[in-house]
Amino acid sequence: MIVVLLILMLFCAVQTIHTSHLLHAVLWLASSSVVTSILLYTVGAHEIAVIELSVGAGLTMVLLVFAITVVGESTQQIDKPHWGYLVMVMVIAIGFIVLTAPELSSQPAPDSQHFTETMWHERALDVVLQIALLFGGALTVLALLMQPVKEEDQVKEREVEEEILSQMSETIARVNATLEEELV
Amino acid sequence: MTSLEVLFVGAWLLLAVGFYVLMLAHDLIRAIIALQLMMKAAMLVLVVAGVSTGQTALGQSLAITAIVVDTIAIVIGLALVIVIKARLGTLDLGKIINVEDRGLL
Repeated sequence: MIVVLLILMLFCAVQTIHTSHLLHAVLWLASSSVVTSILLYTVGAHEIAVIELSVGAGLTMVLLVFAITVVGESTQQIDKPHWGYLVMVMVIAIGFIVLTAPELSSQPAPDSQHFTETMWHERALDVVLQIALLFGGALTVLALLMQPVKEEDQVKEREVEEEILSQMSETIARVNATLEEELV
Repeated sequence: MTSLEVLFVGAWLLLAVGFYVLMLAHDLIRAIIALQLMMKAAMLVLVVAGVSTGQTALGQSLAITAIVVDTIAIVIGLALVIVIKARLGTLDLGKIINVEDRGLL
């Protein structure tokens, strides 16, 4: 069962580079996330399976599709599958595993350890750091996307600023003139 | 081979496939997809480590941190892609890498 799911996940991952359209590659990535979520549920991590499903197949795919819509797809030549590279990289990975193979077997949980207790009490600092990271990421995106990139926009901004400054100086001059008249 | 060892091997192979996709990527967005695959593999290894020592909840908490970092990386990466496309006009990796030589800036 796990072997079948693993082969399916690796097939979906390899197909992301062998398709010509970018949207198809995003769909293959989303299906790879779905199979990963099923695998995680089979092994015993239930909460992570749900989160991986919603984030991987939902958020990531929506973000990528949005970015591809904004940027636009370019018709490029399809990347030829170099099976030799794939075999070489997989052999290197298996070499690493053989050299550093740990003995793994699933042990039962010592007490009835609840996931919420662990995450919100023991690893509370992790959660605080994640929130800070998310805010930092949102601010970075705002800073990146709100700058005028073209020179025409920058020139327009400068013109608007100069207009505002000249209007302000005119009003100040008028106010000064009226004050002087009243004083005299 | 127990099921956890099979999953561990599978996570390593997913990392290898992600690296293969990164090697063959012509486009900047496909490079981001490759990074996503590699981060998923790292998250799988974290969960496997948690389940194998009996501390499932701890492994899952660390894996949630990995997912959050994954999401932030893709969000900032896509914002950079939009800015690069607006400023340089192309997303071809071969042209972006030597930006000054190829006269794009």
